[in-house]
Amino acid sequence: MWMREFGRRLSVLFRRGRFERDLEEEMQFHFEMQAEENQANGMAAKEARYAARRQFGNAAALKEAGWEMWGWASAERFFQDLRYAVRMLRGNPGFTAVAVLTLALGIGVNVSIFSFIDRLLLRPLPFRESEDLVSICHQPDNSSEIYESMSYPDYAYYRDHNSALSELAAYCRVDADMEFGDQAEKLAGEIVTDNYFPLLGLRPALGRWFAPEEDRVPDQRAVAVLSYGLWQRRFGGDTQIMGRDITINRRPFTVVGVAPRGFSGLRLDRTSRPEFWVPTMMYPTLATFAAGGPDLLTNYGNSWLETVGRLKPGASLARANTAFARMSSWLKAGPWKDLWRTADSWWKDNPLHWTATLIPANEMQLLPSYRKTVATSLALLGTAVGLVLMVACFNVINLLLARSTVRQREMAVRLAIGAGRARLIRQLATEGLVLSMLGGAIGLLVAVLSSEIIASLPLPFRFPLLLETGLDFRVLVFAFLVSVVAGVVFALAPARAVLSVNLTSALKVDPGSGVRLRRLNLRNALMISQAALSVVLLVGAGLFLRTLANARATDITAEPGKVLMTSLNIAARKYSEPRGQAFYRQLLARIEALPGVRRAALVMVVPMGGRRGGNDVTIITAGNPSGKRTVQVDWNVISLSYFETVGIRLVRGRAFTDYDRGGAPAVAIVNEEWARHFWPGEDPLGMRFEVDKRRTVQVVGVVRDGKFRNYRAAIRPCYYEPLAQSYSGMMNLEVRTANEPLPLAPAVRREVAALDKEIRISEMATLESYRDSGLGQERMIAGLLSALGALALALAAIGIYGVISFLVAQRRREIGIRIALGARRGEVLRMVLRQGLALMMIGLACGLAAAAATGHFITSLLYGVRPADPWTFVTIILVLTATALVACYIPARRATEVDPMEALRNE
Amino acid sequence: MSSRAEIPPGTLYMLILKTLARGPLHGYAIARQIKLMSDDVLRVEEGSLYPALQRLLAKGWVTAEWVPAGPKRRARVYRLTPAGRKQLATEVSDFTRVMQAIVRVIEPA
Repeated sequence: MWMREFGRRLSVLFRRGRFERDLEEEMQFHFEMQAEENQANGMAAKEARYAARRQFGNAAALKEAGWEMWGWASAERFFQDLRYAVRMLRGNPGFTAVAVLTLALGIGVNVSIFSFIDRLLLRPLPFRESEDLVSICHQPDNSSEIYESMSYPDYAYYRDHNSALSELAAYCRVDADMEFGDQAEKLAGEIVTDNYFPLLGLRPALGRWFAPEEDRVPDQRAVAVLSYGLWQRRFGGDTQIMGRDITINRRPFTVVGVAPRGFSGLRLDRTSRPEFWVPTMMYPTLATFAAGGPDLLTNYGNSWLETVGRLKPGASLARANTAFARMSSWLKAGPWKDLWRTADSWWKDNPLHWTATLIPANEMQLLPSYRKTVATSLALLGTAVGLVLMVACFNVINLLLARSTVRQREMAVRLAIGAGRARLIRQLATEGLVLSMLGGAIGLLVAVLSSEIIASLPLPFRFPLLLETGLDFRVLVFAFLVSVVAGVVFALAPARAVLSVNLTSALKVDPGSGVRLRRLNLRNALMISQAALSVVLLVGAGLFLRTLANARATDITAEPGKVLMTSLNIAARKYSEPRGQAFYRQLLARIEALPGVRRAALVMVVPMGGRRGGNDVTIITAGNPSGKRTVQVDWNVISLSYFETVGIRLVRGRAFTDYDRGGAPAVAIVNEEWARHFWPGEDPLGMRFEVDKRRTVQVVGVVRDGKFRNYRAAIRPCYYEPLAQSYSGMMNLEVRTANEPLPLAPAVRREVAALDKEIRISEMATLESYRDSGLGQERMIAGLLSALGALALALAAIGIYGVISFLVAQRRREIGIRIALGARRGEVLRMVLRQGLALMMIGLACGLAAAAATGHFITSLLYGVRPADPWTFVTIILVLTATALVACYIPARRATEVDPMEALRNE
Repeated sequence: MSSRAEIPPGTLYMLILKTLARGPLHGYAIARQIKLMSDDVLRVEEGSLYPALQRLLAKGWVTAEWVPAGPKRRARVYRLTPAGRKQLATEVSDFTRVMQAIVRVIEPA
């Protein structure tokens, strides 16, 4: 019904000319009939026509009213408003550019942060009924930690004995070398059970999924599914790919299918998307992380699979949870018990304290602990960008208000000739929307750029994360909504001021004297808010900059920017220990002989990189042989000149020497904390402890305390053993150089190759950048908050500049009189400055109060600094005052240049 | 000539539809017809008649066509559609109900 009506309306819309002609002819006919009737009633011809014309009234208004009936009038008015708004904005290019750019920045950063919030936290998995997908995890009874992986027999047990899931699949992330002709590429992939894809409800883009018999016998059926991206990139989307062989880890695999476009697995806590999938039974070729061999299928102690299952229709998560908890009790009473019984009972990670728990797969896109970190950081950044958008909107309102002074006359004229106030408000709202839509459109560019920047930062969230940027439908909708809200808000704020026009006074020469006061109050309020919001952002930036500095300060190495480092894996070469030791000695000698190299050393675990070495030792207390205790301590293995190379000071005793080699008495160097903790008040030199309950080592030196895993880790007792006495095939090479270290990288690479060209060393970096990569999140937050704070401050400065300029213009006559009456220019300058600064100081006070009141929300993200940090506050006060002075000085200067004669004549 | 009255709001459509129920008419004739039928009490202004006719066209209750009316002249004649007839019935019954109710209220007890 309404469709037909809409059709009629539409046909009239497109035949507007015909509509008008019909109506005109119809009215002409009516008029003639009326005239004829008048004549028939005895009027003279001319009089009859005149009377008919008079009776007919306003033909144009009638046409208008007739048109109104077709319902297009409001749409037309909108387009009229739109044309008018565009004309207005084009007529004021300066205003338009500033307003649009301000909005683009404000909207852009919000869209960018939203896109991360959406992708990482809000968006469900793009599979059929993804809310029914669950992951089986284990949780220790006494902590909130979540362990997401399990052994193959665990998986098989859960799969075969549960009644809550219609299907249970498992997957494991692997890295593999793939060969394409003569090119090799390291790619991420997944080992999956044959029911993995069907369970997710996916159809292959090409070919088929794995058949059950392909996932039954170990190492038999070498078949693979490719990702859509890999298929396009490496095989040009060739549809003949099915049945062809590809080489994974030097073994041929037959391609049986291509996954649908965009499918990237279930997890976001990875650095890259999986590019291929193989059945679990191909683990001997792919699970190189565990040299377990067939053991991997039966060993309950080797956790390598993550799971995803689908709840049966109508099954409740709570009930399924209970069932799985019961099943894990069976595991604990049976196979796990045999395996873990001997493990120390205090070990909190002991699986005998674990209980199975189901976590919705949508939540398990990130490990729960990651999820919390991401949520906290993004909430912080989301708040920050929200504040920036507010500052931006306030700025645009300010600009609009300034323009409203000019426009009051125009509005008054339009009101006087009969435009309704509603129509004028609509006009203003349209202008606002046009501005904000333009801002939003350009904001999308800003969003893409800033997302790219965030995603390109090293480890912005402390752990690997699949950060993909780009705009999609949800993000576009968000951008649109933000733009609309912003547009309406700042369009309607000035509407009140504009429309409270007093017609008579507005049409006089001096416009708007009646509303000046209120508008000024609004502008002052806006300016104070802008200052306050910027202060909050700047305080946040300051606190995180201090956190970053404090975190860096925990690094005890000297000038880490002049140390080149790389990891060196000779384990793959399967050298004998003497051969390996010889290799290390020769390598260090060759590198130290290079020009520009000061020192070179090897270390097993490079501190501050998120990892630590640990070992069990038994402390021997002199004079109390019964007081033996076994504890876990930090442990590292180093070559002779390690401490010298990285610049860690030896506090007592000696460093390792050439005499400390295999066969010589075992020695160790400990840190100060070790000495304090185990032998308080005693001389640690010469003391002994047992390692692995086998070797006894003697302490020969003490070094400074340093953090091991990362800057937040507590300082724990730590000991160092000489590489010559504790061989390892996986070491890190560190080279201290006289100057810029990176240019020496090729030379170092050459020396390694000269000894054994089969040994690959990883990308080289400075020790400083290695340490900083562990501070990715701190750097991201500090960097973004600084940028946002600076942006807000700049906007606030523009705001205060505008307000003070406006004030000076308004008070021109008064200032002229003051000068005429003998006020000195300096006094005038101070007067204007005082006014501007007073406003800014109110904003500053409000901002500091707000920052102090809300600071506790971010305490957990800070390090070594309290939310109410006096240094930060003082710095911000200085920065803001300086900004305010500069922003006020220019208009204040202009005030002193007022020519009293001219100012008074103008009125 | 008896005194004229404003057409009660909302009843103009009903009056036009009722007038057309007896056969197709052009605008001028509709106005005349309402005047005659109401003994000169109700007068439809052109300014409301023609917009109202446009409304009825948009709603699909009437159709319009041009017919020759003398030499070199055409009249636009409106014709009730089945939908218009249904609408008229609804409006008449609604109006009658309200009218009777009003009469009951204002009649002396």
